[in-house]
Amino acid sequence: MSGPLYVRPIIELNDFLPIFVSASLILIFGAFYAGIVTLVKMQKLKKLYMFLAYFFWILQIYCTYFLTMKIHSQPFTVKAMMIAMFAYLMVPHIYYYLITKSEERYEK
Amino acid sequence: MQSQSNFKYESQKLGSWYFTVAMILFGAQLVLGLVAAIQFIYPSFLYDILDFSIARMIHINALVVWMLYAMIGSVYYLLPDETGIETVGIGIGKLLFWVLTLAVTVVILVFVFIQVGPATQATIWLITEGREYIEAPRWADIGIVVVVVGFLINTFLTAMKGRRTGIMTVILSDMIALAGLYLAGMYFTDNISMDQYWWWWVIHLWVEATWEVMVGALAAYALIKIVGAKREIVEMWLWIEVAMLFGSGILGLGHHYFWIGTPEYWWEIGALFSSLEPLPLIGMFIHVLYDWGKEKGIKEGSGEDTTSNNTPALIWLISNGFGNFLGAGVWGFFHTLPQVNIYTHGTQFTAAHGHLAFFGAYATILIAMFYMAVQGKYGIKKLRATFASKMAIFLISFGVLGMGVALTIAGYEQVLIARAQLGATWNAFFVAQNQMWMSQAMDWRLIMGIVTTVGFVYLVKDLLTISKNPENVN
Amino acid sequence: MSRKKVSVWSDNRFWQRSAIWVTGFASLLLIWLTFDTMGQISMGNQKDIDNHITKRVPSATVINYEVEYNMNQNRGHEVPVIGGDDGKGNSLFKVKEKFFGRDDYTQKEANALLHLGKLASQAKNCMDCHTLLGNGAYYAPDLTKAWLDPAWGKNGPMQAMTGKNTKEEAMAEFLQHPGKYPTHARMMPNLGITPKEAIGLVAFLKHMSTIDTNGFPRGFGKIKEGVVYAKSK
Repeated sequence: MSGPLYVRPIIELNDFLPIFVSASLILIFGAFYAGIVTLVKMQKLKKLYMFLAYFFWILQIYCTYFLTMKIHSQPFTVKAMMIAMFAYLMVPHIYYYLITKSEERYEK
Repeated sequence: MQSQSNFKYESQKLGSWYFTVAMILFGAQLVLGLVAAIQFIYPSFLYDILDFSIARMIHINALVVWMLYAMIGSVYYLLPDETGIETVGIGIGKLLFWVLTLAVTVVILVFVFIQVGPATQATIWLITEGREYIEAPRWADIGIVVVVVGFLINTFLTAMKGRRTGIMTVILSDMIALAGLYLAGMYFTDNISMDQYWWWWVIHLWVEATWEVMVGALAAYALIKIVGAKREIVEMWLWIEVAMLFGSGILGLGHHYFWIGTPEYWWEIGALFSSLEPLPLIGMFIHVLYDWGKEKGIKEGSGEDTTSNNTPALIWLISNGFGNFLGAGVWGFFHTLPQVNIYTHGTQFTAAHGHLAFFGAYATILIAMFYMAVQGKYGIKKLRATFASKMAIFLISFGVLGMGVALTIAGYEQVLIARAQLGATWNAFFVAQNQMWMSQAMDWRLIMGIVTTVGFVYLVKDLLTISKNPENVN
Repeated sequence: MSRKKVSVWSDNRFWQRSAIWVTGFASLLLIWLTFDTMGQISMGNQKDIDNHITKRVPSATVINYEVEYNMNQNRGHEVPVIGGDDGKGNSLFKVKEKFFGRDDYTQKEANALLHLGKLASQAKNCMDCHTLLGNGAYYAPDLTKAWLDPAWGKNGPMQAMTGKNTKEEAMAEFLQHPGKYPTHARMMPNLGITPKEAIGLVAFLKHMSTIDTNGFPRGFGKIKEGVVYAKSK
């Protein structure tokens, strides 16, 4: 057995701000994505806005990738995060599917 | 709030008593918070009279206790509504209220006037346990457990006898877990790692699991009551939220076990589950907006009046969805990963997160409950927001957000200077404290604290007088 | 209820059961991990030190030994090193160090000191200004590795300030009369700490510095600029 078990690389001083900002943006873009999808499904926004929603989702992926690079994540973690981001793509659709199903059942 | 009352049930009246004490403790929290904020700027203020440690201790304990009071009050308040019957042991419930209030008063007086004791078990039993957030001495711990067990039996028997709803089932099981967890905070050990391991069981599993579920249940009740959402749908979402909150929150506990002596595997567990923690918060936010928009749409379609039957409560409920996501979600997530947390742990970042999350996730929904109690008490069909309601929500939200931003800037400066550059020593700490960015942030925190307090005064005024507003007189 | 076809996804009972299963599973996992962690963070005893076994929370008798905070090659971060370093950041458990003039505290004596110190740390509300293991309030410095702070060491300004000749005596003196030794406009209050309690507290601090905190705080006392004593305003 050689080499350290865990590597905890030092974070560059100039990287702290981008790290905090990108981590926040992951959630904020995520909320925009889910929010716009919901508004479109509720027909408060035109269908066209779905492009905007997916655009926010792409920004979110970029921020996640950027963050995992900046904090020197292990390659496995980076892959796991990317899979999680694809799962997140489905989340608002699942939400809305559940809402429609439950309304079909319980309304009237 | 002792004048004529329209409460149909004594249980609702008892709930409003709890709310009254909660508001008084909320006020105490703000005053002591201001004292501590002043001490950051003028350290000699009340030095050796009411030191920072004491001011800060009462600040956070008053916070925890007012929220618990408001939660217990909310349960007593919605119990008859949900079950359709009066709370069975209402007499005992009232007795327990006075016992608890007396105990809380004694504990606070001891905190203020005796403060600290010698290093003996007697101090732990009678004066303070000295463990952040749960400093209440052991005798009070036992008293709290007795009162809470009484409260649980009371609600349990009532729920068994009356109608059983999903919301009631969630609240009951959640309250049992909440009370049971408190026991983990009631023992002494010489091993500080062990001490903090169990201490987090109380703190984390309260605020990031059981309290959040309580919020979900209260929001569900409020959606039915003030927005007119359909019970079956709201309850289905409540169960999904419970699954998501507990699924991520219970093991999210791992993010407190990075640096207290516990093994490395908590890094992975903590990072994974705390990354999932914001998901239910986004879900709850979208859900509140969706239901509100949908019910409004239905009313519009049928040409009804689209205003809610309790506007102030609705505004606070929506700010809950937003604040929970922002304070607990965004402010929690950006310093939770272990690679970053080794630098941010124990800085003002945590304080920023604490202020925004406690306010956004809990204070908002509990204030919404206060407004619902006022509506119930005076039997007002449509409670409209007054100027004071609007000032309260604006000033309190703006003030807390301002404090959060100021503390975030202070935390950022601490991370860079005290941690990354200077290695966290005694000297490193004070070098960072002396920086302009820190001292100005502390000035702004105090200013924003005052703004919040002014908002609180408007809130008190509004809760006391909103029923006299001509628009609200039936 | 009507007999129309319904989806399981909109079934209240389905979600209720899911919630129970998820909660139950997460709780069981937590309980299982708790058992494992309890084993790993239980406090060691002198026998472990004699057998050169490194515990995450070592015996209270570590107060008899010299303590350092060095980079461990296997772990990739700093760890507490007790009784000398083997060159790779592992403890040798050999080099002793006098603590209030003695380096032969028995298990019983050391336990009693630690007990007194831990009690004092709670009775005086340390955590409502300082952070311990990073938890507490942010009004005063973190105490996790305070014992290893060069400021208290031989040529350190804090030791010089108190006029004492050893680290432990300097710390004990400061704790008893914090008002006499201001290090900043923000002073520690006088908490009525007795000489005995002060010794206990210093033992508690020395023991806490030997807890393996996975490298927290990073680089403690390793950065030159961080250990120079700056006269504050």
